[in-house]
Amino acid sequence: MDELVGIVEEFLVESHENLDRLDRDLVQLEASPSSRELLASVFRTIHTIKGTSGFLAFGALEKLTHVGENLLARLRDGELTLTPGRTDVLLEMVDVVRLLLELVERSGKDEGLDVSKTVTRIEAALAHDFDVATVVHDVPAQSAPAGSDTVAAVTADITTAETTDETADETAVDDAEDDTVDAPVATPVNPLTPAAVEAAPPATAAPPVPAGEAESGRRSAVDSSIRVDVSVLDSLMRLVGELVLARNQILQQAVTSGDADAVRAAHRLDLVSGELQEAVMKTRMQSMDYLWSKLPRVVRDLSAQCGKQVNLVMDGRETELDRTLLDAVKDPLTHLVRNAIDHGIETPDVRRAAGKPVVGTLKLRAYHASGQVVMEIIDDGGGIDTERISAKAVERGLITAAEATAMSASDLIDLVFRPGFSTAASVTNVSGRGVGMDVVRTNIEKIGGSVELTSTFGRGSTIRVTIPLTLAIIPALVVRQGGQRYAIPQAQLIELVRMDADDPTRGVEYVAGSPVHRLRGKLLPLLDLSNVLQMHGDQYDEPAEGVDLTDTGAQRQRTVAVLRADHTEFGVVIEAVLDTQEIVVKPLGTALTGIGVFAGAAVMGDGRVALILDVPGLSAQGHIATAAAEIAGYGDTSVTELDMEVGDGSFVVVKSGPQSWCAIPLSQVDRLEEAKHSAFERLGDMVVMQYHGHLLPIVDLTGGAGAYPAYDDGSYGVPAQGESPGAERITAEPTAPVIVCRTAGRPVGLRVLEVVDIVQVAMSGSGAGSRHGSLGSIVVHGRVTDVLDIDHHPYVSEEMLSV
Amino acid sequence: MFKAAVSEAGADATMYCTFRIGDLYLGIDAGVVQEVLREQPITPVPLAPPAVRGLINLRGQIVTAIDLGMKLGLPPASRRMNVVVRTGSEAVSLLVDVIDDVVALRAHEHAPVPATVHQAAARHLIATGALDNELLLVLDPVQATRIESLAA
Repeated sequence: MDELVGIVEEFLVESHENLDRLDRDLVQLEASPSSRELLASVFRTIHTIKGTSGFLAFGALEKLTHVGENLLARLRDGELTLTPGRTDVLLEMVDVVRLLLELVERSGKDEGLDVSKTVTRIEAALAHDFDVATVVHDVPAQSAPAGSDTVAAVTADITTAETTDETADETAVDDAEDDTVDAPVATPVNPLTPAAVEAAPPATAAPPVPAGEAESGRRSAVDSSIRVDVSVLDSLMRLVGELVLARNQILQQAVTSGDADAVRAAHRLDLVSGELQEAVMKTRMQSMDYLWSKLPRVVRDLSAQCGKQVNLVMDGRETELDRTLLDAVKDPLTHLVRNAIDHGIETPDVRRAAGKPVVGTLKLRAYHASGQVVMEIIDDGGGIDTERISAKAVERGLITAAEATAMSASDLIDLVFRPGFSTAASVTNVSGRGVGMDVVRTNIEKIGGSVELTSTFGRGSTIRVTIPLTLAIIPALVVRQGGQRYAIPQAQLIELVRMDADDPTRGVEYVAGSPVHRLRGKLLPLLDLSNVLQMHGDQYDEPAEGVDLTDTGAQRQRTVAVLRADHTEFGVVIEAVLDTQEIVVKPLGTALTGIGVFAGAAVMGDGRVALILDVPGLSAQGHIATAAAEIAGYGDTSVTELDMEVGDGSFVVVKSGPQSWCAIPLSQVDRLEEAKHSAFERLGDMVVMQYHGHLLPIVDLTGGAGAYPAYDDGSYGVPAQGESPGAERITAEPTAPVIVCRTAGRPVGLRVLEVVDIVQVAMSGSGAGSRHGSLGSIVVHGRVTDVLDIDHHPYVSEEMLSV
Repeated sequence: MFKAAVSEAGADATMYCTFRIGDLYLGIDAGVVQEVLREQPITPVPLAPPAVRGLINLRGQIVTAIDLGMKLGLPPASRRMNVVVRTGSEAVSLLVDVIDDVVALRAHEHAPVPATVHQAAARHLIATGALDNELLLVLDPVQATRIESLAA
């Protein structure tokens, strides 16, 4: 029902706009009555209203617009000419339509207003000599049964309110044809009709509800929304982007100036511009319905074409997303839906044989999750046959038979994203050409999103598309290379790995001639950013003057940024990491778009330009796919699997007390965070931390060692070593590692003293592991370490997770 | 500032924003010149064609800076002044040595480009104009801002 209300509201807004145009058009028409163009435009408008009102079951509105349409059709086709009299009638119709719309807005129905008089007058206007004689031919069909008392029929509310469209049509035609015959009959009515015409509008206009009531009531749908050109929003967005830049500069200056007032003002500016940015971003948001509204038709046509029965369920159609992104997702979504019907859902016979309901279900879900929009396409079809996939992949030469047997089910499923892969037995005009899923993934990744596919053979598949909320402003890692800054979009950044300071070549191995880095037992193909960018000229040796490139870490350390493109992870060796920052993405000039490794540019806080690295472009430039394929035969496991199997035997080892270590299964770990001590806050008898706009309950694993002594200002923290509680806080606020884990689908933060290592070992389920809250134990660096069972840990309570 | 000059010169005159690169005295239709700027911080773009010196921040808009001298076949040099030219929807900054006056050339003062002009330069020129004691080379704005070869 809510949906219907939405449709009605949209209809009202649209119709009111259309009517305004109609008024103008009609008046203009009077000046140039023969303009087909104007007439066609008017006709279309009325036709649209008629169509929608018929659909929404607004009978009176439909009836009125129907006769209006008749008249307009004839005017348009040149059968009748537009005379002032007919214009009057049309304008009157517009007025009545307006009244009806107001009625609909107030009561949700179009009942209570008699439109029959207007209908009659429009019908009369269909006559050829309508204006010539200034006569309203009263409809013979009505006048005949009523005898000669046509006057009464006009002034009293005519009983023809129930006149069906057909009779209206017929009478109109009759009228036109039988002009000469009717003329004498009509003549006696003459003197009265003009008066009736004039008197009519106020009569029909009498609204059933006093106008004042509506005024004081809720803001109408029409008044509360306006249509804005997308380009206006784009320029608004651009301006806000500029403002954010200016804010960054001012913040930077205010902080260095040390002027307290300036800092305060800068912070206010920071706040306001932040809110403004959010509000403007909101204007660009459109509901998922923009994409989904077209799908029922697509599904209906396709399922008919494939001889299948599909029930489309949509959930979360109100989920909002930036319009640009919606447009970018449109084609991939259509493709995925087509795939689900063509490959996923089985024919009724097969379904019946499998004991499933004959009608397949295709479910679309959309929802917000941690600053992103997730869209799921779920079918209850046949699912993916991994054996068929592996056979096909081997046949196509994508993998070898040996590789196929070694691959896990999820890896095999992932093969469908490889270019040139299609398992459809035959190429239909729906799908099967093998240019599908890889393009879907490429397109989604282009906008910083990701695509995941899970499937149970025989039960169905789920495709989860994750899309960032907006494109224009993205969080990025700013790095230094060759005296310049470069930004790496965080969406494609997985982690940063520090390389040894004393010997930067350590940690780099060569496999089949390609440099690799051994990361947690897996081989990661490496790229050197300076090589990719061919930075060998003198201009790259020295920092450009005035560019502040000092980083917080040691200068000589090199860092590997682990990035992901096309589902392959690779490392990029960079000089130094400078900062993380929200950047406004600007396009590059046409001369530079062909380079391929830059996604755009951004203006940094100091007003200089930094280039944004295009991660898929870097991967292509560095021939990562080839390197990954070569490496895949070496090492313990293939590089592409890196993210898939993490968790089986991978643990984060932390120091929970001065002497005690414990381990957390990596599969349960979302992130490793460094939190400032002041970030820990008390909420009742719990400790919480604000984390991405939510409250993250904190479990203190440090026991007594990690107590939260209260500072004078009410914040909590652990004093730095050698500092007694209550002592003056050191200027650089100490931080504590927090392991963000997930239990029962909810995040929880584990406060520890130190992250020791990430290891991959086999777990033994005996000994200390039998305790409550412990999964077992592992041996790390020669010491027995407890593996935490977060799901059943005594510190983790239900109340805590419901924060 | 161009308007006043136009009214002085008369209706059939074209206004040219003039500048110098080495010994060359060049002009470009003032109508396409968005602004003229002093030296701006430039961010080099790796892998870009050699004539692209980098990117500058023009009030939040990112503009490609092109060494016009290199395009004209002159050796690279540190050209610092920016002539920001807008052709179509995109702005490009031409880096030149010295910014000169705005001059008006009447229609009859234009002359074709002599055949003796170096090929690399001739491609970018649409006319010449004889001024009192110097020859003005009139640039084709589209050619001057075009970057032909992208990085392979």
